[in-house]
Amino acid sequence: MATLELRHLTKKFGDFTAVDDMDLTVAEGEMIALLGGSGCGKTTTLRMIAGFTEPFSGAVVVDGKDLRSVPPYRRNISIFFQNYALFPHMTVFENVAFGLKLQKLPKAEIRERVESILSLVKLVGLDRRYPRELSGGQQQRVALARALVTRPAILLLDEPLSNLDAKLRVEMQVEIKRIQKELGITTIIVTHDHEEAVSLADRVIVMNAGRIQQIGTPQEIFDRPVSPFVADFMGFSTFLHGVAGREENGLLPVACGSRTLLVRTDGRTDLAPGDACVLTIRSENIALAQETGENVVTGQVRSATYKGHTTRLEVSGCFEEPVYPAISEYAECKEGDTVSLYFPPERICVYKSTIGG
Amino acid sequence: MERKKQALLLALPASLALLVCFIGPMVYILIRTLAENGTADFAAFFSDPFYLDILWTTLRVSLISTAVSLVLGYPTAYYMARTPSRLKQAMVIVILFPFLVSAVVRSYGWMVILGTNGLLNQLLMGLGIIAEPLKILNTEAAVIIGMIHLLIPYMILSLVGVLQSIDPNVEYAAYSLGASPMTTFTKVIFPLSTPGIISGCVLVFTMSMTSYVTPKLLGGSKFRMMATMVVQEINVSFDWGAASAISYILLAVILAVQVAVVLITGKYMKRMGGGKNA
Repeated sequence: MATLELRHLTKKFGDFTAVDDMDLTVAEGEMIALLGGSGCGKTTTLRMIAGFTEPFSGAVVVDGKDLRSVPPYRRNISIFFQNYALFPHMTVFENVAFGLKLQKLPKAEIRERVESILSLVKLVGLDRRYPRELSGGQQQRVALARALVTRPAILLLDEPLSNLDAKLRVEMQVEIKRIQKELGITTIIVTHDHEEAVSLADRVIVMNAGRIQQIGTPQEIFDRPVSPFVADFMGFSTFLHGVAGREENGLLPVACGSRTLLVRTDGRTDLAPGDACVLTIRSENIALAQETGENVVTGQVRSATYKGHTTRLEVSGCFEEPVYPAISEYAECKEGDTVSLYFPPERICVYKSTIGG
Repeated sequence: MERKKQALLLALPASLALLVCFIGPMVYILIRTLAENGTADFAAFFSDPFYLDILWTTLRVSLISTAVSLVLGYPTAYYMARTPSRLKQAMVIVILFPFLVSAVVRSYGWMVILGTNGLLNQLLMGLGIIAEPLKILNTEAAVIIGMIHLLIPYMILSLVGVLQSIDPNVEYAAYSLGASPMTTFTKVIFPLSTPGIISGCVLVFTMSMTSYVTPKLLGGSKFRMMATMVVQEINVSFDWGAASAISYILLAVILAVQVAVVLITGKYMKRMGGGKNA
């Protein structure tokens, strides 16, 4: 258990800056998700924390101590790899006991701790198997047990669930969260999957091109992404270009083509009248409207895709860009239908247009 | 089943050639030897300290060459396995380069270097490190040096393949669990590279046991190994019986060593996943 701080952490590979001036403070027992696409610098950050690669500048600080001169094997930071990286020549027991044996603990204590962690990850009775004799999910839990058993100050999880099928993934999400809370280990999880990030982490950090785009609780990031990039990454798919008007009573009118949408800004906007802007809204927040009114527009359904819990529509004709509402699976909408859609003002996010964006 | 038959058919030409040109003559020689002298030639070998000494020399030279090749080759192989691909390709070419020159030519090269007035002695005397020239050429040391030079590429290439197949994350995982680089090597890398160590050692050992040119050219007239002895029995003593007994004993020793290696390591390799790297 420890606090982790990254101070102006920067990593360069030649001319390429993989991680750019990253600042972050992680509280004791907190679980943080680094979320971003490939090449955003999230894995490089993880490797710098673990000590596998040296920062170009800046520092990794654990409990107030700069780790610059501490080699990876003295950091007490465990890492879990996407491909598990189990020792293939060792049994489950030997894999898990590896770190404890290096700590020169008494045999009885090693056995006891290995057994208790194996029961925590529900692998009792498999301790004499070799990794290749286990299923993917079992191997993953061995890797997790191996990383946890040494009671590390910090646990790093690199894409922990990406190799699993959907059912196992949900199970493991619950497991990882439970174990992490039970042991109270400060944890950093690296992932490209926003669902994984929001379901596991206390705070999510969205990264792009080596920089932090947004830090916040999963809900904050889902409700108020700070930029169209973050919104896009969190699965927002409806993006509209418009021109801002003058805010009145906390509502900002934005002209999108021939229609105007009201956005609840409550004086927090930096948009001046006439500024070009981008609007976005989560698919689930667009509702079917029964009657006309403010923020209700009509359009034609171009496609309807059944998604299980919802039906996802592509609707054109409302604005220049298509919109993508996700509606109840029971609402009967099919291709070619005309629908009225309601955009709740408090659910719309508005951003100043950047040039070309 | 159909595929199996096809595969058998594909293996047929090489198998036939081997049977007719190699196994057939081998069996013929054995039968002829046994028919002419019974087991006398074999008995003579094992009762004569002269021959036993040659067998021992052959084993000793081969074991030392294999061990030194492993020790020298391992770091090189590890470096190659963890190097970006372009540099690795260049290194493979450099390592294969000596194969373009025959063992005979390379042995003559070593004669120039190791001789009494050779480059090495001139250098050492020029630097004032030694007063009298060292006698290296025509000794066992010269044979071992030449042998290592000849065989180390086989060791390196065997090791590179296996080391490359070890996931670098496994190393990182060991570090993160508190293993120093040395512990990571002894507990993880080295055990995982056993298949490459075994195949490299068996290869180098076998080639060294059967070598002829190197001991002949670098060992001098009084230095004898099993293969040079076979030639000597045929060309000098005209004793075909002794020659065939020596070649069979050599074959038996090599086979025995290989079988022993497989038996000792087989269980271990199986544990690691059916020795799929071997």
